[in-house]
Amino acid sequence: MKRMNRRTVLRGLAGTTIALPWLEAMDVPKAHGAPGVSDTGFPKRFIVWSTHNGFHPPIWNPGGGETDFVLRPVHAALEPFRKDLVIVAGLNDAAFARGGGDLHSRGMCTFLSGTESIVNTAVNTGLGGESKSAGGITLDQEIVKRLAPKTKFPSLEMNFLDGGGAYGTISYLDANKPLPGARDPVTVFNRIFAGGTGGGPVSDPAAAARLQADHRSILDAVGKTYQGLLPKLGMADRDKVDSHLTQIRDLEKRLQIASPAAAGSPAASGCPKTVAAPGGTDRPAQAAAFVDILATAIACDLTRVSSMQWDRTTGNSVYSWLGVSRGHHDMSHDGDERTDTMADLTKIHTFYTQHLAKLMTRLKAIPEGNGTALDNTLILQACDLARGNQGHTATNKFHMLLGHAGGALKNGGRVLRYNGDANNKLFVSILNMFDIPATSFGNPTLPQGPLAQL
Amino acid sequence: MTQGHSCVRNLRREVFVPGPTAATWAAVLMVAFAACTGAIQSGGPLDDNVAPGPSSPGGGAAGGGSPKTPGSQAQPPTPGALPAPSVPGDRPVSQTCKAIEPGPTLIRRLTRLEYNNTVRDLLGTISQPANVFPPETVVHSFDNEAASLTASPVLIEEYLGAAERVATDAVDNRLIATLGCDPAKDGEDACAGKFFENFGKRAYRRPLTAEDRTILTDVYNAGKVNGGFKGGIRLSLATMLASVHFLYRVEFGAPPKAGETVTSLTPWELATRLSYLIWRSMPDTNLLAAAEANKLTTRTEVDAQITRMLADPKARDTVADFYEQWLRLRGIETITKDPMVYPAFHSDTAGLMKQETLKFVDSVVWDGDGSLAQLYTAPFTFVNTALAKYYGLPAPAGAGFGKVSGDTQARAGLLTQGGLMSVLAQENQTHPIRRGTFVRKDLLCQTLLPPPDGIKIEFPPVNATLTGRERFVQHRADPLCATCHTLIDPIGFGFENFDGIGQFRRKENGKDIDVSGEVVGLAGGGQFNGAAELGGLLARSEEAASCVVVAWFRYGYGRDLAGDADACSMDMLKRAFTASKFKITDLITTLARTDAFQFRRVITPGGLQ
Repeated sequence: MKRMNRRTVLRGLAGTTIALPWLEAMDVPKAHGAPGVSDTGFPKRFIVWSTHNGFHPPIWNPGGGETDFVLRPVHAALEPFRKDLVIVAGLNDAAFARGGGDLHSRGMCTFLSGTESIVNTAVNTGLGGESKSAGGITLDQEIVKRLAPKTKFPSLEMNFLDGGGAYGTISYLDANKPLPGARDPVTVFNRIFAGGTGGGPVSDPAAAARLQADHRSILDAVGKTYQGLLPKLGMADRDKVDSHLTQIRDLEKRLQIASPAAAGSPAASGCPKTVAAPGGTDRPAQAAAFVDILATAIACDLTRVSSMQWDRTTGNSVYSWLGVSRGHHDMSHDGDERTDTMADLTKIHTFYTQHLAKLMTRLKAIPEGNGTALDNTLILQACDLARGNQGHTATNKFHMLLGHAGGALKNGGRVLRYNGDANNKLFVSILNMFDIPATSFGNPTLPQGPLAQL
Repeated sequence: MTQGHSCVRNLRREVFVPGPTAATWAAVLMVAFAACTGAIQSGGPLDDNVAPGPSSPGGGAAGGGSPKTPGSQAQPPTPGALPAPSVPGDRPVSQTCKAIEPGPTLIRRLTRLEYNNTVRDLLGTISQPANVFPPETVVHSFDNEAASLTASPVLIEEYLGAAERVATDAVDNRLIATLGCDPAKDGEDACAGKFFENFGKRAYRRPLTAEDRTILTDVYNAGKVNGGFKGGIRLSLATMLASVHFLYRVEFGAPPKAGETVTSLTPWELATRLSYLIWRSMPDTNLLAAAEANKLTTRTEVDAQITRMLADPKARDTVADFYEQWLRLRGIETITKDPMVYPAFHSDTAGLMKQETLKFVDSVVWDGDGSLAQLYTAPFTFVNTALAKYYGLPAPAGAGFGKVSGDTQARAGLLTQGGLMSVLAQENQTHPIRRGTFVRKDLLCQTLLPPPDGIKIEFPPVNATLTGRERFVQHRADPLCATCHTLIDPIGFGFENFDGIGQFRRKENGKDIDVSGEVVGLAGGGQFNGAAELGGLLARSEEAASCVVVAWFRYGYGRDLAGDADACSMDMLKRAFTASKFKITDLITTLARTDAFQFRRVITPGGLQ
């Protein structure tokens, strides 16, 4: 049997390549005009690109005006993409402001959910402590839910340094339903390219068919155990078990997608015939691997929604490979006047931005109709908090939109400055760009959008 | 203003008077710090909790107890109304505790640790297949809060993949042992049927139902089409491992009498609760046999099982897991320190320090007097040669870890061990705020609130002339900081003998380190000199003991306290803990005796839980 035995075979085999057998089976582009499809008939993709521990205005905020803005060194790698970006400055996380308790976990939980977090109340006091979950679905998953793309993977969550838990998760299916990012690129690679249960390729067609039949039999039987239990449960348990069952059913369907049955997959030109397994276990190699995986997954239409999370809030890793010796979080508290710290933070953010530029370069190299995959992608670059110092505020936040969302994000190359509008409005605008006719997102009692000028 | 990691608005103390007859655990003392109220934006309503009321002196039994109907107050007990097992004689004695109130019970998905343990005990699988599953959300220090253990697409894929791998391994390598019968002799289908019954009872932790049999037989037959007998077994085994009855702890309780809202557990459910409480794994053969024979109905029978189970090494693993999580040692292996500042700290140092604490806990809890006091004050630790050298302690006898003592004024108890000190530090200096906060929040279960919005929070840079205490002078100079940091910093400064990598020092930058500290507001006085003395304070502190009960409640039951609903269970736990002189294994035993553990609410399908 030619099935890759994932995890065991690939680990340590840097440079191994995997053939992607589905290339011959590409679907033709769907008619444009369908939700989540670009003007030219290609699928729209949404990527969250999140960094943490806040921003620091002197090294971050661009100078100049709306169109003649001047990027700081941290953003220098994006200079070639000036026309592909819109900076959205000055929004507030309105849900954050209404929440209580610990700022770090709260910031992560409200970050993309637009609603108040679920807070642990301390024993016997009723006082808010740490947040333990977003209070509802996050923007990325709302797009998955509303567009329900028939891709192999509904979404792909990845985390470079440190994740999981309320301090380290940005994506939620719903309250208390976190989607922590995978931290090991080898694990992600194996999952999506190398015979993973999620439906990666199996080279031998007979073995693939047998495997698929086995999967179907098991999942069908397993699903019945959940189904049979549902009517007997109380409300909260029923919700939990039903969610599990729904995801089993989704997996059954996903396993039947033998090829990236996409509306307008970019065919052979974008999706490589082989992919290389992640090479190296050091941090720079892992960062590069994540970008590779993400770009390939987009190119092959394995998923249309993804989040690339670079750390957790309070993440205190030492970026020693950049010549930085202090922990990121500890540095993030330093004042703007600390030039030594700002120099180190510049190195860290430059590292992130260079990878962002690398991803955009990859997407721009994938032809889709008259344009490229970058034209059909929207990347939301943001941080859970506005600032690392100055008390961890979530007001006057900095967001960057990159790509063109299939033509829905027009007039790139601008800096839009707002004066405290709720970021819920931005989320509504983004949903609208994906042809989702939302008028609010998150807590509907917060100021809702869409955002003017966007 | 310099670092203010958390701002305290209210300190409420649970008064916890040791002694079997005084257990007013929920009485509250509130200290308001006016200048810090700005820290709160929309804190929840202050819950002036209702104490369960004074205990009845004498500790008499309150009868078998009767289910309490929510909304109705303290109905007279109707002994015998409940099916066994109730454990009269051990019921809390407060007036309000006459009725049984188990608190909420949510369905619980296995954690990664529980999954690994369970497939090990079920099939002999030692590959720890759950290590690649997504991480749990840690709530109140622990990974097993039921409400947070939900599913995600990645997890569903991993469940299927792990079930397949584990099943394939069992079928390919241990078929006959797994089956418990020989298909050549017994006939394939008959053997498969036996396998479903016997193995299924262990996998589902209860006898199979007709519905279970149908599902398994169908998938077995489907598997036979492509893969013959082995294929059928493989698929049915994989199905069991991904089914709701394996991955979740499904409970309905014993059939309740009409109108009752609380019920006891079936013997199978009680066996399962016991095994996941004490072992974090499935029941073993002995326990399942006891359930099957209905031998878990009396206090004596249950106690005998608890005693037996606590003597098993798996119970030691559970205690180790509790402390690993509670003391933030999980994942400590990956912490980094600045090699310019701390050249002695190597890539394996943190792992050794974790071993130190876990071996220490194991020794105290299981081989020593097992008390909380000993954990906080024991004048010894466990090191190997490398770690002994690192700490400047005498080398142990032998090649591995061994018990050693050094200057017991300097090093005694958990709080003086390198792992905790390194976690609660920065990469290039100590972190007195993090250390003080840890004591308040994690060891005393007090609430700390964040500093006011917009305050500049900046950590003082490493300074070649100042001590840690001097670096944080701003916390005292600025009244806005001082009101809150008065509660945090004096605790943190008491740890300053331990640098950012857990090495002991008496001087910093050529200056003597002043480690006088105070836990302001601690009952009976909170002044101490150095971390070892702080351990002594906590060893005698009712609040610290109470907090240990809270932590074990959360860890043991996979949920937070539910206020009044758990008042009686907490009452019982605290009184028993006190009576046992704060012995950890006795606390675990008592966890298995409370209402919260022995009973559950009757399920109303589709109803509120």
